[in-house]
Amino acid sequence: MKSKVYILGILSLAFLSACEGYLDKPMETTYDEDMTFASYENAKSVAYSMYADLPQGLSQIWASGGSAMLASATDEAEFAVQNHNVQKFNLGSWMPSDMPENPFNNYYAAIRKAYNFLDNVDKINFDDVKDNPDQPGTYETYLQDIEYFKSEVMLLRAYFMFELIKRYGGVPIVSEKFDEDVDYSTIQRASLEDCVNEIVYWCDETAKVLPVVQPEGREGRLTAGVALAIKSQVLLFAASELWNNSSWAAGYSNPEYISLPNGEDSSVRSARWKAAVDAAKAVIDLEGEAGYTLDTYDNLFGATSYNSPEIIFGRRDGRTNSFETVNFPISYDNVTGGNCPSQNLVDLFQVVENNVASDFDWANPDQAADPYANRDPRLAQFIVTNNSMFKSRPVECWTGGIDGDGVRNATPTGYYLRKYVNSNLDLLRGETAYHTWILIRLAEVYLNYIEALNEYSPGHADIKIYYDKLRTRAGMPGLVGTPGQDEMRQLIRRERAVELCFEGQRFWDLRRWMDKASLTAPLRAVEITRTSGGGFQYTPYVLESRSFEDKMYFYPIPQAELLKMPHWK
Amino acid sequence: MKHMKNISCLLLCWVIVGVPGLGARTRTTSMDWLQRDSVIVNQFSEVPAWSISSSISRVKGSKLEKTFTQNVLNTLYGEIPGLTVMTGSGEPGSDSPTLNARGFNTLSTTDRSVLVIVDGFESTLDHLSAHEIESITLLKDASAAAIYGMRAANGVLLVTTKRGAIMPLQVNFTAQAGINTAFNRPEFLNSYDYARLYNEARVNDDLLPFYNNEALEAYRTGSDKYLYPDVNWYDEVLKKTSVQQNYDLNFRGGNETVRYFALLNVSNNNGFFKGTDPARETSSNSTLTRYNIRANIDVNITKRLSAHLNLAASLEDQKGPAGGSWNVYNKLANITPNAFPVYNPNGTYGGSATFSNPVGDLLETGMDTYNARTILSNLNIRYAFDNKLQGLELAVGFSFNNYFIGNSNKSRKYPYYAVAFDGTNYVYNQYSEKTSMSIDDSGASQWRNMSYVASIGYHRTFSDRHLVGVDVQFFNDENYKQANADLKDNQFPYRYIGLRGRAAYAYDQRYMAEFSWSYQGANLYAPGKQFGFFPAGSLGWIVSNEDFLQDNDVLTYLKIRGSYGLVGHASIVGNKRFAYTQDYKYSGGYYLGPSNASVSGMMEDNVADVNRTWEHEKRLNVGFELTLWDRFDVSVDYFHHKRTHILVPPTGAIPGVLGMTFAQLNLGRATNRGFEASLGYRDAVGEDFEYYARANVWFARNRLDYQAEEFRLYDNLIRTGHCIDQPFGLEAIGLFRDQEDIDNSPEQTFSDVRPGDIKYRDVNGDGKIDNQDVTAIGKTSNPELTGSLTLGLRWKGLDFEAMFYGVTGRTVYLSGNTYWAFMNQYSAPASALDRWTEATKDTATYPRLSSQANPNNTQYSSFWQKDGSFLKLKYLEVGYTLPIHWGKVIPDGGIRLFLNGTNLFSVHKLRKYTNADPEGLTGFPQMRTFSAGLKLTF
Repeated sequence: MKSKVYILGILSLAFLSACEGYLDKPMETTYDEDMTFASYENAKSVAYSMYADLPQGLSQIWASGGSAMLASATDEAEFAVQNHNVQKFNLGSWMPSDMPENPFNNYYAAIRKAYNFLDNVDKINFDDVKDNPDQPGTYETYLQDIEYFKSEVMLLRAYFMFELIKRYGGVPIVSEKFDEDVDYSTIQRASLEDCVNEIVYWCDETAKVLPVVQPEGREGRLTAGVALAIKSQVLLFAASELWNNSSWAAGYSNPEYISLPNGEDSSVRSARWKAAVDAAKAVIDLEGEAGYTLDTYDNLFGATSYNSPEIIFGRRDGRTNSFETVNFPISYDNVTGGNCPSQNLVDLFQVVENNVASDFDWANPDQAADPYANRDPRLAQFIVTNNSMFKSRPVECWTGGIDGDGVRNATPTGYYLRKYVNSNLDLLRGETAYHTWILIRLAEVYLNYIEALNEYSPGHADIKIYYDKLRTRAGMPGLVGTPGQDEMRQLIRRERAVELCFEGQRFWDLRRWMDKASLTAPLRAVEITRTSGGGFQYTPYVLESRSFEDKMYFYPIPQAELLKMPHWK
Repeated sequence: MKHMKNISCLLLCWVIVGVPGLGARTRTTSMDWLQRDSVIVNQFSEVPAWSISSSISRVKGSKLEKTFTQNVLNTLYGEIPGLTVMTGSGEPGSDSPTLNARGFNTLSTTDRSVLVIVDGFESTLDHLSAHEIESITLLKDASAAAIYGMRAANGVLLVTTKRGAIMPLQVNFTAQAGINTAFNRPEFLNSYDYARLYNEARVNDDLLPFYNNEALEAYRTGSDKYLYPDVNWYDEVLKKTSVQQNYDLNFRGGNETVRYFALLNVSNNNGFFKGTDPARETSSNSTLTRYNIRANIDVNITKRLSAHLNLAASLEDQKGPAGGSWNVYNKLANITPNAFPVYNPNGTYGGSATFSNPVGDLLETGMDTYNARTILSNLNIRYAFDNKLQGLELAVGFSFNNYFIGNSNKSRKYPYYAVAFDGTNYVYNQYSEKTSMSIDDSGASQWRNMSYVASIGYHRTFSDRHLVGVDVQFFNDENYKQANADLKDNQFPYRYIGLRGRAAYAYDQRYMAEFSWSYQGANLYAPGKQFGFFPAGSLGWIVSNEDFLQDNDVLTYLKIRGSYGLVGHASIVGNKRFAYTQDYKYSGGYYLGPSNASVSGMMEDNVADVNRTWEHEKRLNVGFELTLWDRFDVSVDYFHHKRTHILVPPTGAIPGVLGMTFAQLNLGRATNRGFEASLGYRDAVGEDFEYYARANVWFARNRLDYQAEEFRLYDNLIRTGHCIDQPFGLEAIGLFRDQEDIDNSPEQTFSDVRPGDIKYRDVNGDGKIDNQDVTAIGKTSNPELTGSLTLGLRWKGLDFEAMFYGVTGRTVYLSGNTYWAFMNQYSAPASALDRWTEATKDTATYPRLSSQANPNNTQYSSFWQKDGSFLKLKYLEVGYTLPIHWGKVIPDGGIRLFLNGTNLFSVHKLRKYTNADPEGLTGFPQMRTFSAGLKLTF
């Protein structure tokens, strides 16, 4: 027996010594964390992948048959495919377990990337450029670039947080790269106020570091101007009605998730408008240095718009044609049917006669007979109306026309979209073009500025100046007389609706204004009949009643997430 | 008489698993055909069967020879209780079935394979010949399988090959040859019916009929075989029969010093493709020729030192049609009978823009071939320390097993012509053109296993009643697999290393206890998490050896046993081998600069799962074995396997706020329960007549207890709580009778619905039928219940044996062109004749015909699910052993002649659906084989 014990002992020893490292992965064959961050180029790539998480509004509401824009969930438009996901917004059938869009997890995955970058960026090995006489200055340039990137990832995080709080109200403020075994119950939702403060703090911090203009070759990366412009968006939201009014959610036990404190206090509110004014003005003050200027619409929504001096913050993309495949008038190139502008929107475009602007009126028989004549020039630039030219031929939106009622997935409203649509593409030949989704452009900052200014300091001279700048660029007469605060508010809101239509703004504008009238306004369309003389007769009618309840001012936290985080209420 | 006895002994061994009754039988071993007199617990120790308290199932190699097939896996249907075998293709060389031990209990569909151990070392079984196998054992419970630790939970098959014995040289020669026919052939419409129904389908779609009356009449009368052809493409491409043959020569013998078993086996099997090049240079029927050689040698070097060498090789030479036979059968199912003639009036191949010519494709486009070789080699050295300590033995073993397959595919194109008539002449429109033969030799794959084992064992009986057995082994297995190229980090061999052993004690042939275990690690897990301990214990009690039953003549044997323990399954799912390392991937590129140039993005791949581990399975097994009147044997096992740490996608467990993505985490839980039962009866009337019967039946059903399932909008969508692989689809509730029926039913959103389309149940009650209405329908394709019945008798020199094999508790799904008419403008199956029409609305079994895509009717639904149960006469063999005086020709030998039928017929419910076979719904069919054979022994 002794020998047996002895042999067993030897066996065990041999066994243990044999196992040391024997079962470990022998070498890295793909990129692991250290290999990735050892390289300056790869580290940059990690940061770039956060840019790819920026919203792409051209296809925001996904569905297999073709994605819809957020505009189709507002009074701006109706999606041509009737059972499209986006219709859940319009029918009021969306709920925590069934959302038309649900970017909650995606934005937190994007936020994780920021901390992953910051946690690892110091691992970059600069040995090949450091003190390298062949590449003088490279090392310093790289170091500077990394400093920029550190700010860029935090500013992107701030922007993603803004996207989250617009939808969900107060959400957890994530400031670390979580481990697999983190205690979930320690992750709590933060108050809306804390979220806003966090975003604004990082806008301010990064604005101090980031350049006003990114050097040659890096155009498209974040700048100080972007930081200030995001701040302007956030503070305008923070000053607006929705976040200063929790009365609509009486009985909700956590008002701090959906409103800022003391919003009913007029001095508090005034200070918030002041902050919004200052934030927008800070961007405007940067115009000269950053080169921001109003552009032509052709350039702003065209294939080279990434270079437009009006775009402060854009989400760039590669060459695609999926947007055109959805949004061309239905008779062109095997199109599937898409976002169709509503009569509600079209009616907002004014009539100009003798350089005097007036509201369009169906009761005016001349206007009703030829509704698209003498309109705000932006109508023709943003919207395809019946019998207007598209790809060198008139579009037939009339009943029985090749683009009109009777054709499967033809426009239900009588209009097609022209903004962002690149009509030069031949889809049958698979042609593609660049599309840049505008996140913030100078015109919006002007509108932010005058909206806040009209609340904080009605009658301020700047209101007319910047209102007129936008009108002039559009080819419209400027402000006439001195409207009162309420009238001016309506003018600004209408200008915003027209100028920024189909840019993903109105969905949020109506909410922050708590403009329930527009949120519940029936969606109108126009019936177009061709008369025997070859002319057309236009009859507006209600296409769809829209359902909106107060709870829909915010998105619900996804049901699937609540099940995993039962302490979130 | 001496000869007679030899022959019958041989015969009986050959006929059935351990027929009892030869030689002295003790009461403890009467369960002979369930558990023979000794059981191999590992390659260095063998113990008496009565002392085993674990649960195993076994089959003797000789029983496997009853099924005439080239692939030994196809002999296992119904033979090993607990081992469910499901047919793959019937094509020679591609006919390996899938094996599931006690069902399955894991989610991954790619990682359920049984661990195969041949002579103690990991290997494969499908390249072996049935003639070289002594026995195959399925280790069922934790007690039997624990020594295989984290590799045991999907079942372990122990294969033992034949060895020499202390006996004079015995030569066995077997020749067997036969004729294969296809077990089934799908039925399609002829041209007239096809055209007629196609017109009807067009009309149903509000389109004009495609064929005019003149065309229909021409199809009906067959008046113009060029312009109105009616081709049965199956007849043109396939022949009715093919040949299968097997020749086996083996030698067995030995003395005190050297014992040997040597084998040479050659087998050949052929498919049904017609008219191919006899020289197999330009085209080929499916064919596989396999050569097996084996030499198992045991040498007693000294009184205490012995060496045991096993060397085996298998060479395979396979040829078949270009693109694989699956491709040919697929084309046959697609092509319409009136597409074009096989040959045009000018002798060229017919063809069209839609279809190439199946005959031309077979004969003119080249061939696919492969060569494969398997080498299995191992050497064990054993040293007995009997002089120091009685019963102590040291042993070492080494194994190298290797498989290599190289593909060589020849391909070329050929012209085919669409024929038309311009009023005076035939005109031809050419498609494709002739090219020279090109060769692609680049395909190859291989695996190799290298293993070492060192063992110390102590086996001794004290005072005739205390049986003690202890084994401890150190092992190291290294497997290199090239096969899975998609798996990241597959450059490195798989390593399993550890200690394993067992300690057993039995008292007085009445009470048994055993503890078996392994402590092993694998190079799949993070340092510190690589090793696991897998213990199992079992107890047994032979009640019939107690005094109070000693003289009972009815209950002659009764053993009760139970076991409990832990086994594991080192699962690899997804495309990542080392889940604990954090990989980065290129993804999320962006665009920058004045010309919007793309820049690449990189991001964390799925988050490193540092806690990744093997799946754990706790197994409970209870069972008994009993014998009544010394003749009637019963063995029953009940099992309850609870598996945890199953790899599942953790959608429902990881909060999104963490921002992490995981491919799989060890979060799933499942329970698998079932039983195996074997009944045997055997009796004799006088010396000349013996008969026997054995029935096996086994059942397994699992339940998915938890899988971190994603959030589901409706309860009917929830997968958890059903069995693994449970099909989910729409519940069909008949065909719409008329427009009123449609108007009164919930809206079906897949496509426009007309009378005669499939009507679905609104399971979630939301007033419309869409993907949210799918619910659990039917069962999986893996049977829950498997049974077999072997019947045999011997009368003088005549012997007879037959086996029925059947399964139930499974569902098959009929889809694709073999079952759906006019899909993609292709052919129509015969079952389309039973379509819905206004006149047949009460009896129709097939929806209304549609010439266009009809998504409503092709949704995954219970309409196309059918009961996949079947009962099959797996084989029937009649043999005649020549009378004794023939023995004078071959001294001390015997001659047996036999006739065998394999896969003779099956009873099932699918004949009316395109004559489907529930075991093979599409592709190369099963083979039915009639053969004759001769076995010489001397």
